[in-house]
Amino acid sequence: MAEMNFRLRLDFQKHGRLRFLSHLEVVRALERMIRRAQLPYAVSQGFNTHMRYAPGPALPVGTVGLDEHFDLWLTEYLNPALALGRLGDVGLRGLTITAASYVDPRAKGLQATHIHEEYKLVIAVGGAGAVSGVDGVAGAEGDASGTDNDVGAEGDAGGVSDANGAETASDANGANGAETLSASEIVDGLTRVIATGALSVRRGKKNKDYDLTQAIDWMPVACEGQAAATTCEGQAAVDYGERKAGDIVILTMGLRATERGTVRPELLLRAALVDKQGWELKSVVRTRLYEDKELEVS
Amino acid sequence: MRDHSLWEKIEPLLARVEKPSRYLNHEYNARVDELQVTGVDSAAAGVAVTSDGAVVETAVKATYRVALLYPDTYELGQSNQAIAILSHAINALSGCVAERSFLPWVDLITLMRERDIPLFTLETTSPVASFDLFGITLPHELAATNIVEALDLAGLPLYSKDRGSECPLVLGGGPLAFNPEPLAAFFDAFVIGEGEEVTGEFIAVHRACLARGDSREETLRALATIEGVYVPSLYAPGKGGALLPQVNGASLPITKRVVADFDACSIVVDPVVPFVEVAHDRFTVEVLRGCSRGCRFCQAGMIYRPVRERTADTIVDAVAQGLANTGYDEVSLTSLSTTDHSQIEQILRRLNRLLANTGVGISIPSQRLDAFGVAMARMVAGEKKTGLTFAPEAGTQRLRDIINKNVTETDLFDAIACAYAAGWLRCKLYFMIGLPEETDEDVLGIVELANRAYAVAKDAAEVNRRSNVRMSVSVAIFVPQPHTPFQWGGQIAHSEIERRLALLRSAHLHKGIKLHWHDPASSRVEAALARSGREASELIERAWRQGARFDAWSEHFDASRWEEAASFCGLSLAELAERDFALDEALPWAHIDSGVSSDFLLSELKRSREAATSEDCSFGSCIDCGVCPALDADVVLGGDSRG
Repeated sequence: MAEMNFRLRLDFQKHGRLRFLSHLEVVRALERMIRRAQLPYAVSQGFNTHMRYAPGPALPVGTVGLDEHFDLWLTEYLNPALALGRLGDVGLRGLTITAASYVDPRAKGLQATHIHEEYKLVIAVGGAGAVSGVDGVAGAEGDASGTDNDVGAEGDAGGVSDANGAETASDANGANGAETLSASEIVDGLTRVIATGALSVRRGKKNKDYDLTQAIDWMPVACEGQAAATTCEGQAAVDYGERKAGDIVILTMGLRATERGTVRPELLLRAALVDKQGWELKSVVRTRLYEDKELEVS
Repeated sequence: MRDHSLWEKIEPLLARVEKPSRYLNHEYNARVDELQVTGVDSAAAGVAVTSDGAVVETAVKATYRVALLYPDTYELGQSNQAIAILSHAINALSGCVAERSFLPWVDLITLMRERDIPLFTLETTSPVASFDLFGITLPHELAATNIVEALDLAGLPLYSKDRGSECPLVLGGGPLAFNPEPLAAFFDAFVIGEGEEVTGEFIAVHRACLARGDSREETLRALATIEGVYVPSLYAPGKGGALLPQVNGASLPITKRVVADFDACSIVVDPVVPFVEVAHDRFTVEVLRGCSRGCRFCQAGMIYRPVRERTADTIVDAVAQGLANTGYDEVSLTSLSTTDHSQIEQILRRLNRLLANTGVGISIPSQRLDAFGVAMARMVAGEKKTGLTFAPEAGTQRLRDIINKNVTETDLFDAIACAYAAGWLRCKLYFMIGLPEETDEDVLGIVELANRAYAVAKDAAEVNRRSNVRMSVSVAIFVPQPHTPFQWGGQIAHSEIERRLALLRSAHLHKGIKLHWHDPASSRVEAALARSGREASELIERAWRQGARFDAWSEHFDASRWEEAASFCGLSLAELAERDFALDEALPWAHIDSGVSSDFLLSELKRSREAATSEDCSFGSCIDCGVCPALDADVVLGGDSRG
């Protein structure tokens, strides 16, 4: 076994066009970036030698991530700032490494510790935006990407988004003449769904059941109008799409990974607004990913 | 429409398609020009501001723009070296840019058609139709309908005769250009031979035509004067079917272009690194070009002559640079026959030292069928002995002699014994059925040879691993190819293929061996297209109108579309595939000169009938195939020229 005393945690963001990468594509892109940067990465020995690393919880195709993590084992100490600089030199626009720091090499894995996830959803309601047929979120039905924490799954996890599901989102919901949905209606809808304690989502021929009593860290909060426009504008750099003016609702919520994975926020939204027209999900952003001990300070 | 990015129209569709990362551009080493042309004035000045605020040179009218298409998905096209090599060559020319284009998968095509979004390039998401030159790689026969799909999706008239000067010039090149006639009606011009040798000249002539404001007709005539460039509209069949020039300045034959100094020909060491897992997801270095083993069924072995090797230094340098520039964990040394490189052992030894403890692997696409080939495979396999591929091609020595596959049973068994003794537990054996003069004995010989090879493998493997010994046998249907000694004879009848396949399947194969075979129906379409002349253009268009596309994907191929298309055109697929040409008949591809003389092909055909083998000139003496004098080139081994 090669020396692997140094565990470097990279914080990164997946945004812009690269939000369309699947989890496996992100991992592969990071791996190649690390090789280009010629970091002193550890290599496993044995039958199939490979770089020693451990990715954080999967981020679905189409979802932006602002606080993602990736652990890499090094054979020798390298100044983290230097590592960050070298990665930056060979980096990708849209897969931005924002920080690097050492963590305890024996600590539990990211997927075990970083079970708290904060999401921000941009929803177009009424107006031209909602009927344009635009949908910036892949696999919105949630049943096709297979990336709900299926880390290291075989094949192209997340590469397949559900065209039919998205079709429903932009066409059926985008009917003209509907009254503009308000932020409070959306929150009420979500509250009702969460109160039932369970969510059942069709995945192919089977249903996938989520236990919502365990899946919610904190209840959804929404804002609209000027407040939403301001929020959206402030985040333009990380690609929320083009929505700046009214007609949008910004929804935030805290979710928690369970043994069965994290429920995707767009699934909750769809369940909440199943009988509502004239809305469309513009983007989904995982804004934070953190562990228990950070919960209080959030 | 020029310089108008389609990204804003494409992006919203990406949430609804498979593998959206095919369409993003922005891969490492990809050129990223998110140009926001700030105004007419700055655009005219060739300056624009990117979204990052940097001022860069734009792709405005002063620039000659080339869209390069591989007529299949990103996964196949991005793996193909042609697009990478030609992009690199074109971008090195002053005032020229090349952009990549691939055929979107059917899900995105449907959405694009619903919204009138045309075929686009990746780098600037520009409509392909807005380019000066639309270059299309012609990889194999089953890509024909994809080419039509691409032209149509681009919004271009399908036929050259219907396109005006507002359309880009549509240029084809690649192996299929050696019989360009089935595709002739769709293309304005073809490059015969190695594109990197001709592209610069082609572009220079075309740019001069554009600058002069030449008409389309004048442009085509000017291009036809370039050596290796074939402009089909300037020729028409005369008596007896042979093509004749219709205008002054157009001459025949069109002789293939080759790179004489292959070692000096730069290697793309900073290729685009895809996000999607592509067919060949690794850095590749082409270590040699051409193959002179002289297998009589093999078109590649004829049309890529002469053999030219890169030196060990060049290759090792390129590997080091390429891996540093890409971050790949694997490098593949490609060619038609990599272990035939005269310095292969030295190259592998040096690469092993270079890559020790990096987790980076070396791969060699297929193995030379002897103990040396296996020894070389051992050098790169490390602990990871995943699989080896050998191609005996025929089941009996008699048939192997007929096809000039200079490999004996002993070679095969030695190779297998070496491999399984070294720890490999599986290998693939490639065969063909339907080869000239094949008998039932030859067909059954495949099974017999495989069974015996399996026994050898079992004996060679470690005692406690013997129950894990596996083998697979893959059987292709022989497609007679232009420019080979077997070009005159037709494919065997469909019913006969079926009978021989049934015979093969009925024979007793050891249960540790898996048998796979190609679809005879798609092999027939391949043969029909490979051996046709201009009459096939309408057939291709018709098949496409019946819904044929992605024919190389078995789940998309539907023989009935082709059958219906053929009967619509008054043709018969069987006839096109199975017809024999008389030795003195004008072949549909007679005007294309690969450098290998027809006398040589004919003498090889005659020798095949006597089951007489011919030597490989890389190892033995010259067998007078004619390519070196015809192309003014030489066989180059390890950097040294052999006169």
